[in-house]
Order: sequence, then C-alpha cells, then structure tokens
Amino acid sequence: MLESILSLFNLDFLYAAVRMAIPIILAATGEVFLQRSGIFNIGIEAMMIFGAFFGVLGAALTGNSWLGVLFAMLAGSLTGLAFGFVVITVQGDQTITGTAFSIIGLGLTSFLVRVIWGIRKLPVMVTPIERWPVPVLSEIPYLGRIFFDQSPLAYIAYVLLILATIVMFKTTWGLKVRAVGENPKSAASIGINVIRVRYLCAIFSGSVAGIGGAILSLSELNMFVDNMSGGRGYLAMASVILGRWHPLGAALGGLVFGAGNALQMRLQAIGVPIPNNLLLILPYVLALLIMVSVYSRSGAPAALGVPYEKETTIE
Amino acid sequence: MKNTLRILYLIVILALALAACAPQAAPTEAPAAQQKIKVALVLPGTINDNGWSQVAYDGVMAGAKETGAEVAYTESSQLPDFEAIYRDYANKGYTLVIGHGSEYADVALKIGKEFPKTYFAVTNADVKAENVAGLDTKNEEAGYLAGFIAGTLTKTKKVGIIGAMEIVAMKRAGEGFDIGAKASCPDCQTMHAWVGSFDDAGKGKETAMAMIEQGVDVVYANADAAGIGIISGCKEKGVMVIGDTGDQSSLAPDLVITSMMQNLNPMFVEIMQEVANGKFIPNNVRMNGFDTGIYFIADLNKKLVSDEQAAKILAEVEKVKNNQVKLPHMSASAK
Repeated sequence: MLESILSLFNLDFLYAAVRMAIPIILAATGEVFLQRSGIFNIGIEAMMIFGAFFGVLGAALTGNSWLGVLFAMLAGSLTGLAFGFVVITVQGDQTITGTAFSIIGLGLTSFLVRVIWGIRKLPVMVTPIERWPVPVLSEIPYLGRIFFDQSPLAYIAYVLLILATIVMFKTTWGLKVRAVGENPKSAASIGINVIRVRYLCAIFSGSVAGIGGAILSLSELNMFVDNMSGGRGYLAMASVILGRWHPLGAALGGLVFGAGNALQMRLQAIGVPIPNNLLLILPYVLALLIMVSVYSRSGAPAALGVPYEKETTIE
Repeated sequence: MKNTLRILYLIVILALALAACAPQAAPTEAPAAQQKIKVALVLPGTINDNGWSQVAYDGVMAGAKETGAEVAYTESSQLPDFEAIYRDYANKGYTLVIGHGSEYADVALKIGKEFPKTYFAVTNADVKAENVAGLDTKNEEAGYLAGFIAGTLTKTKKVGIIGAMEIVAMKRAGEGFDIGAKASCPDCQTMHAWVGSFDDAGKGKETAMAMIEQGVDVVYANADAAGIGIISGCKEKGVMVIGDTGDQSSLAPDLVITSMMQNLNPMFVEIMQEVANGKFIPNNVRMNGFDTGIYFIADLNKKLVSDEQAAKILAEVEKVKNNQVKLPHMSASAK
C-alpha cells in the first residue's frame, strides 16, 4: 500500500495540483490587493461565479471564447464595484456584505441560466479555450510539463502574479495600497485618496476573480453549471491568509489546496483504507495544519475590516 | 437604539407565536372521484441539475398532466430546513408532499404523524406508514449493469465508478457496480471515488483524470451535474465512459458507451393518481427498477461495442429486467 501511495507523487500529480490551483491563485492575487487596502471580501465567490457565468454567456453570444473571458472580467469588475459601493461608500459591514454577495451570486446566476437558456437536458456548450503548451518553455524537463503545458489563462495568472508582486512592493502605487490598509487616516493626511485606492482594488480584485471563474467554465469545461465555483472563492480567501497577505504566499496557499485535492482524488482511486469523507476534507486539513503551525498576525493589514470615514471639517 | 432593538425582538417573537398558532388548513375528505390535488416536491438539487432532481421534476410534471394537480416545489433544500418546509406545505393544505431522496425519510415519518390527513412519499427509501409511501428504487441495478458493461469492455482490467456524494442511492450503485464488474470480468479491479459535490463539474473532471491515471479505462459517471465534468475528464484522457440519468452521448460521442437512463415518470404518475383517486395504499413500499421501466439503458455505441459484446450486455439487461439477478438492497431508513 505504502508503495502505491508513494507512486502517486508523480508528474501527473504535480501537473494536476497546479491546474487545480490556478483559479484559486488568480482570485487570491486580487484578494491580496483588496485586503491590503483594508477590505475583507468574503464575496469573492460571487465574483468567480459571475465570471464563470458571464464568460459562457459572452462566448455563446459572440461565438468567441476569448471575448467570453473579457465578459467575465467585466462582470467581475462590476461585482467588485458594487461590493466597493456597499462597503466603502455606504460603509456596510464587510463580512455580512461579502456573505450576501456570495449568496446572491450563486442564486442570480442559477436564475439567469433558466431565464436565458431554460431547463435543458444538457447545459449550453461553447468552444473551449484549449490547453496551449508554450513553445520552448514547455520542453523544459518536468517544469515545462507542470507549468507551461496549461491553459493560456494559466499564463495570464502567472504574469498577473509577478506583476502584482512587483506593483505591491516596488511601486508607489503598492505603497499607497499598503498605507491605506495600515492606517487610512495617516494615508489621507499625506494626500492619498483612500476611497479611490480602495475602489480600484475592489475593481481589480473582481476582474481577476472573474477570470478565475472563466477558467472553470471556458477552459476546464466549456459550459456553465449551477454553483460550479464550488467554494473556490473561500479557498482563495484562505490562501491570502495562509500566504500572509503576500501575492506569492497566497499563490503557495492556492497550491496547497490544489495539491491537497489532487492527492485526495488519487488516494480515493487506489482505495486507501481511509473513509472517503475524510479524504475529501484533506485539503482543508492540510491548510489548517499549516495555519496552526506557521500562523502569526504579522502581515495582516492593521485596518483590515475597518470602514474608513472621511474626516469632516467642522464649520 | 437598545429600545428599538428590544421592540424589534418583541415583534419577531410575537410574529413567530402567531405563526405557530395559525389554524392548519382544514383537510378535505378524499372523495372516490378524482379531485384536484396539490402536490409539493422537495428536492435536494435544482430542477436543471441534469440528474436526480431534474428527473423528479419531469416526473411530477408528467403526473400533473395526468391528474391536473397543482404543483409547487422547493429546490436545494438543506437538512436543517426539512421540517419547516414540510410543515409549511402541510399547513398550506398540500395533499401530497414528495421528498426526493432517502434523506427525507425521517422528516416524512415525523411530520406524517403530525398531519395524518396529508400524504407523504419518499423516493429511494423503504419507509412506510399509514400516510407515508416509500417509492424505492433499485439503484444497485443501474450500478450492476454499468459494472457489467465496464467489465465487458475494459482492456486494462481496471474499471471505476465516480459518485457525487456518499448518499444511499449512490452507495447502492457502487455496490452493484462491484458485483457487475466481477460478473463479466472476474479478475477485474474496481475503483471508487467521490467528487464530494453534486455540481462541482470541474472537480468531477479532475477526479476522473486522477482515477484514469491509476490505469482505469472505463469510468461510470454517476454524479449528476458533476458527472458532466467526469465525462469531460474521460474525453480529455481518451477513456470510455458510461453516462447516467439521461443520454449523455453528445458530450463525448466517441467515448460514451451508453447511459444508464432514468425515467421516474411512471413512479410519480402512479403515486399522484393514487392520491387523486383517493386510493392511497397505506403501509406499502413501492419498489421500482428495470422491471417497472424507471431504469433502462440508452443505445450502445456501435463504435465501441462489438456485436458479440452487445448481445452479451443486452442479455444481461433482460436478466435484470426479469429480476433474475439477485442483488443486495441497502436499506435507506434510519437504524
């Protein structure tokens, strides 16, 4: 048994781990920015499911799946904007607003599917975005197969991840985001427009989470299925915390979930004598173990979850 | 502020108390002639889940056509809400409340006692009471034949079944699958996996690919909407697959061997007619399977199945239909 378990850790396993991590990594990259700016967004699930749905809708309407991805981005951005309006302008409670967004996202997309396509035997299918091995890079032994034989949307995820890391730590813009999340009042006192920064982060977060959703519906599959985001938004949020609010850390967190899932699926298949229900929660147990062993508050933006109220001048 | 909250709480409590005391809809005496009945369907999934819940919706709609019943349904109901949903329908004067799945067995028995004039039916369950009917299905038969077909066609001698969640219906299918595969291929190895979701098609795809990497060359996709993903995973890996519930051959025309079809219409029409005609049979479990026509198989894919194999498979289907294959039937009622 041990031998067959060890034999599971092969190239296919790593490949599947990365593939399953990509949607989570994308959503987490956006979430890092949003949380760094001081906003806690549980509603990321909504941004993903809207991305998945509008991706397919766009692809079905235009006949071009890449335009579908654009639809997904726009839908995600608008969700981000709406979320921003409630938590930034109206200063609604971020946890409750995020939960509400998640529930609305799942419900509204299921509703729209029925209104637009009706009750059908099989979902509407669109042209999938096929896997595209990157020339040269995909021929690197091991790494090429694992990282560069994926969906083109995965490469967008890599580029975004690197750009996000650079912007966050090497540019004035990143500094502004971090300042706003640490101490919005001081940030405002040196002339940073707190509200604008937070809105932009919300829109950015929504648009990349939208692409994350589109990977599921346009690349992994070529259709929309009700509730297909399957809680990946929550995993993205957990990745951000696991990765201590660093884009690369969050990506590692996403990989933990991807690898955990890839492993549990294989363990189930070879029939290890562990109840299936326990195997199914393996990714979460892994995440919990990492959390408990490496957790510290360091890295959490000080003003995370606190609404910002503009100072009003007394007349 | 505190006072406003207190007043709000008071109002809520008063409203709840009032709701609890509200008079129950007077149950009408069942006349012998067909009467207009009100049927409520409580579903675990959505009416477009491409699987279990969708066939029930179709079935109740077919029953409504026959009996002129007024139909209401609740989708994606969660265990903690079962009692409230049931009580609500019973209070509103629904004649028949159908819970679609063994998970509704306990609540049907409990609320059935509280509302003796309302009829309850539970699919997939071997429950019975004065006003509760079990509409049991022999899921193991579908699993058995899927296993038999997989065992007939496999070359690697490894076949697998992927279910959505460990519920009675899918566990029964899994049991049947093992027996069926062994029947047609005694030295075959069977693999089992669960997606852990009825609708996460992406995860279904990954689960299928993980299983195929372990050498499986025929997969039975038994996971509703997540099953669409399983078929997609088989397509990506170029491996044969057996669909479920509806004819899923269009998802991968070169690789879908057949689909284990489900048509629950006869089962739903029968119970709705019983109630509408005032001829409900108390304390009775109605058993359904290939014999009553709720299960059947879609056309075998000529590209994958030779004439000889087809003959062998169809002969086995006949045997199951005539109840000549004895299979264990897992009980769905609480121990």
